[in-house]
Amino acid sequence: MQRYILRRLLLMIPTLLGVSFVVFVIVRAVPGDVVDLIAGDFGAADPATKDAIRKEFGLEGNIISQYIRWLGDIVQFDLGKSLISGRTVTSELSNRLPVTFQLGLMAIFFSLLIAVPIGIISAIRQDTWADFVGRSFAIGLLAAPGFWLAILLISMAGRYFTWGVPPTTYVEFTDNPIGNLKLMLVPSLILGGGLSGSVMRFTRSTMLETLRQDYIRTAWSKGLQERVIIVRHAMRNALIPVVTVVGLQLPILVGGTVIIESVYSIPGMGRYYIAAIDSKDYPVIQGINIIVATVVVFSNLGVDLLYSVIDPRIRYS
Amino acid sequence: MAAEYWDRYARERRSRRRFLGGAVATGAGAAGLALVGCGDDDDDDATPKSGLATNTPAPNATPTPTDPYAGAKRGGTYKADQAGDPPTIDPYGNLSFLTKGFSAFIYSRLFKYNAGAGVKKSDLLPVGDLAESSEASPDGLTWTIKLRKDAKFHNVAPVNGRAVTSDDVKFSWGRATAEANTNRSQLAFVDKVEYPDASTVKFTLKAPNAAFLDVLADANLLWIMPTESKGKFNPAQQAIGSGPWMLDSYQPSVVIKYKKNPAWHVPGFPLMDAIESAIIPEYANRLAQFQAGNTDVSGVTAEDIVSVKKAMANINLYGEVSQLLSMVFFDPDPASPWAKDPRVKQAVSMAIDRAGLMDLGYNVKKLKAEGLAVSERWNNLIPAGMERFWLDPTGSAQGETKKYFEYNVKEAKALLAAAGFANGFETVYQYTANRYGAAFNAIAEAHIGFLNEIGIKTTTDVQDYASKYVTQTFVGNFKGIAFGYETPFPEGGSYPNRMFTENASNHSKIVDAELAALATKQQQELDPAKRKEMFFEIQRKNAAKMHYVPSNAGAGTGWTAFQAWVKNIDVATVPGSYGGGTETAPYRWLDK
Repeated sequence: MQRYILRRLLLMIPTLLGVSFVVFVIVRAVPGDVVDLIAGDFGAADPATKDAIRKEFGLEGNIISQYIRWLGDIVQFDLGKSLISGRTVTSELSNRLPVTFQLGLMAIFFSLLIAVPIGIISAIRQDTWADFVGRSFAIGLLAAPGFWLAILLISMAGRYFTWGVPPTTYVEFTDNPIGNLKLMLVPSLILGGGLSGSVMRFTRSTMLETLRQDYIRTAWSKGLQERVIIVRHAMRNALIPVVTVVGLQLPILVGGTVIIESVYSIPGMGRYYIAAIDSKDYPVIQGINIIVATVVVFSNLGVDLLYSVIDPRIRYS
Repeated sequence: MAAEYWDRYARERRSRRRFLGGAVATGAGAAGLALVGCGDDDDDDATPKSGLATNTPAPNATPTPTDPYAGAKRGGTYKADQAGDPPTIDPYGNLSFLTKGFSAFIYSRLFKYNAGAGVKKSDLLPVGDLAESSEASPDGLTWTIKLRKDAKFHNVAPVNGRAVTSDDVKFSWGRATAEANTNRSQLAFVDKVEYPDASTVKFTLKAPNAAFLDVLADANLLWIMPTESKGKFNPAQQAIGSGPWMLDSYQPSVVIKYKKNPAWHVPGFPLMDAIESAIIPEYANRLAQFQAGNTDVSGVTAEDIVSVKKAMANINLYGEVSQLLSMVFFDPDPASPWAKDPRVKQAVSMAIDRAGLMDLGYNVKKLKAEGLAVSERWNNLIPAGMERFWLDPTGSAQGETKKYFEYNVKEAKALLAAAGFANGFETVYQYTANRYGAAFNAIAEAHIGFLNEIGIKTTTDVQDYASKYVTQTFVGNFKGIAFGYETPFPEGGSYPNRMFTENASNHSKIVDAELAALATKQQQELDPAKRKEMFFEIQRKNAAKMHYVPSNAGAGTGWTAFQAWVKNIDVATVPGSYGGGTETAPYRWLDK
């Protein structure tokens, strides 16, 4: 097991290097020069100004030398400084990552809370009204775009039930748990609802498949109670592929937070990312991508390791 | 003539002093919070776009028998909103309006605008902020400015409330004209600056400049920072100025909190204790916060204004025309149809249904039917909101060229035919749709139909603002026809200077000796009436050739809604000056 983990950790290095290089090149390949943007429209064509800016922000030299310089900083956990604000990316992300992390965790929690029971009930009551209603509900959540739902809910709250308007400003959970949840609950429900559709569909199909296994038939023939068969024998096996799906949803979740954080004014990483892309803030874009890539490769490893916890038959060597 | 001009400013200063004296005695003052979010990327249709709207004191207004501040209440926290973070809180760190808007709360300038109750927009002029007096030499080339003795920086370490001196002006001038500061080109007309003593600054200009005090009042340019900003504290992380507000805290993407500067050099102000500006990017959320009573002020779109007013009967609405010029402009390619025959540009102008655009972008008919006072003025080369220099394109003063502003498809087609394009031609039409908001986008799309209607077959290129529009198209590196906003300059002279003289941002690379000469001449004309007539002439001459075709995005009324308890809302400062933190915020009060 330890060797397996070590091997996976080593394999992450080329993956992250590849991601970092691709991102580094792509952000610079986008038409337009960040120096023009920093210079603004007053002095856009003044070469002296541009050179001064390029020098000030370390953008001189070819792309390879810039990449090597940046990589050298990264291995020292220095993600660089924002070209726009001058603040360090590391300090910005250290404030914003926990916010996005909380939102993501709550979204996954709500996703599972909605998807797993509905998926299981739909499977064990296949083709009944409960199945139809449950599936329709989950598909409905999948079909409704999160940003649309968010704006609709906020607009309706402002007009018809002002108690439902989220707080104006974000507070940390540790400072004010109720104030924090007042802001985070609805966006995480919207995000979780969006994710729950596919998880529900997957849970239902794997549950149906599991319920048709011989050992389940044996359990029925032994006269075991339905609750015992479902919870102890079927569900545990059926959830293994579901864990994979949830793991694969993490990058999608990061994408979802980008919009929802802006709508609900949550000071997370997604909002920071949007602003960085808008202003071609290379260090921020690169920093966030490398963080997201790291989270994704580690979560994939975590998901793989979780298999062995859920199903003791799985062993890594 | 120069003497008359400077006398006028002297009169302004004297009347300001009188006013302020009265204000102290009566506890009066003037006006409102200026917007931080004007220029908000996505909501240009709600002029002062964000919470800290654009109203101002009445410093140099003729004192009226009724003291507008007799019933003013002190204290309280004003809850506003803004659409985004300032990219940096260092006033020289970025060109963003969000940085400049923030700076207006914290920092002083040498001059500011005299906006306030009783001051018409057409009369908005610079008055002293840190400057106590200013004297010009008879030739208008030398300006001697005396600083106020009572102006002090905030009582925060390491500056600790010391007096503002000419050393601070010297330091700030150095930052404003530093090589990496792209705004320095706006100050290039200054030959040298001398600092004879601690309270005197002497500017020598290369040529007389009618807009000199406007430049010093321009919230884009010269903020006075303490010399300690270099080395003793980092102005990108800590803001210490001499303005009416002190930075209490700034939580990026959450809220900026200001508290009043008790030692501000305008005694008795600010009236409120604090301002909290929540950073809320989404318009729907900002509106909901206002509807729930969580904020005291918010920009509301023309689409929503009627329903909001109906649902919240007690709120007060403030409508204002921004100083925002939108224009159709053309590539500088000598082989293009418009280069071959200038009638093509006239045809394009006549293809535009400007009245229809006002309705499309600003809901004019419906709002008028609801009894709201909406502007129906059209942009000329000078935006409709800049009353000081604007020439009504529908009025008789526009002369013969008035016809080119009329919507006349038949005549437009005839002009095209006469230019040799009876069957029209194909071209690219470009604009950006991710910066200026819904009203702009709707109007930009409508232009496609107008062009098509007269036979100009367009391929539309909707450009990303950052990567293409502002860095390529806006500076003239494009093919075809483009549509966009001009930078909202607080002083009219910048428009012809930018558009007709040789500079990087002459968007269409127009070479027109007559207009270029007029653009330079107006800047040196010190007689206000003559200068105004030059502006009118520039607008007429542009219309004759339609080098730039003015359109009506930016010409309509933008709306700000205030809760009933917010007082002193109905005064206006210079839209686009970003200076409201100093010019208006200290004078507003809450009556809860």
